[in-house]
Amino acid sequence: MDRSVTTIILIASLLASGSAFASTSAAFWERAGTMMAECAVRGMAFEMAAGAAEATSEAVQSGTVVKTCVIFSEEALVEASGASITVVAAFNGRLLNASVGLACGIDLQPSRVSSSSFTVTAYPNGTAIISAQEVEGI
Amino acid sequence: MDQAFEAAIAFAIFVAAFSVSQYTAVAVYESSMNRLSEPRLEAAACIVASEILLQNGNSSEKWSSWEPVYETGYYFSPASGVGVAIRATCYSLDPSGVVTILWTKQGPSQEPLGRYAQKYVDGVILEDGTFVRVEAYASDIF
Repeated sequence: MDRSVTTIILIASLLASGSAFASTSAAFWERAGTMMAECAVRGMAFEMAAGAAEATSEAVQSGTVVKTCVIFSEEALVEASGASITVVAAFNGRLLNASVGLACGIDLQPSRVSSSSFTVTAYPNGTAIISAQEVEGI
Repeated sequence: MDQAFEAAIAFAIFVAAFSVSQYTAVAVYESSMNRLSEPRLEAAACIVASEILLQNGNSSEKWSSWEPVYETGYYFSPASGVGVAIRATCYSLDPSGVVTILWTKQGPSQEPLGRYAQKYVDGVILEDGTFVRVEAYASDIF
């Protein structure tokens, strides 16, 4: 075979494998970005649920009203009702949501709050309510 | 220098640079995922410890009959992909100031869930004056 034909075949195969790698890599990183965003929203839901569980546990043990703060780096919509908490947040223009259900002893009052700072107020009877954190006067 | 040798050196440089870039990309991805997972796992451990404390309160009777449950779904849902380990220790303080361990309940393993497990610790003083320390561990299971 002529040397120039060999060179052309070599360059063509390099370009083909390069573009195949680039498209596979782009698909992988797109999927990875989505997974990271989903993981972040799931983490926010768990953090909010942990705040509610911790505050309720302390309130029931101490017999007093307990307030705790949960702060996210992003603004999120938090919906709570019964034993379930749902967090909705936007990442890269996409709305993602995650829910966490608490199994026992905690009764969340229905609420729907959009903020990045939340206050969980728990009462000795095992109920808790989530509200937007009040900003102290400057 | 002959052409084949030059080609071999060029190919070796390309492979080395490609390997380094891929290794760096995967390491950055793994570290980002771990950074995102840690707060979620710590929150899961917090939920487990809080619910255990909520169930048993400061009742010595409840704590002595309590046995740890390791099914994650018992504490929160969705529970898939997360494993928990629990260790509860009851301490008594003598008038002389000596701390005695009255009992320990733990499981499912002595080394809870490996090095990526996140830990949360809480405690309660019981009605009889003893103290229960609850350690909950959460980790992703694959």
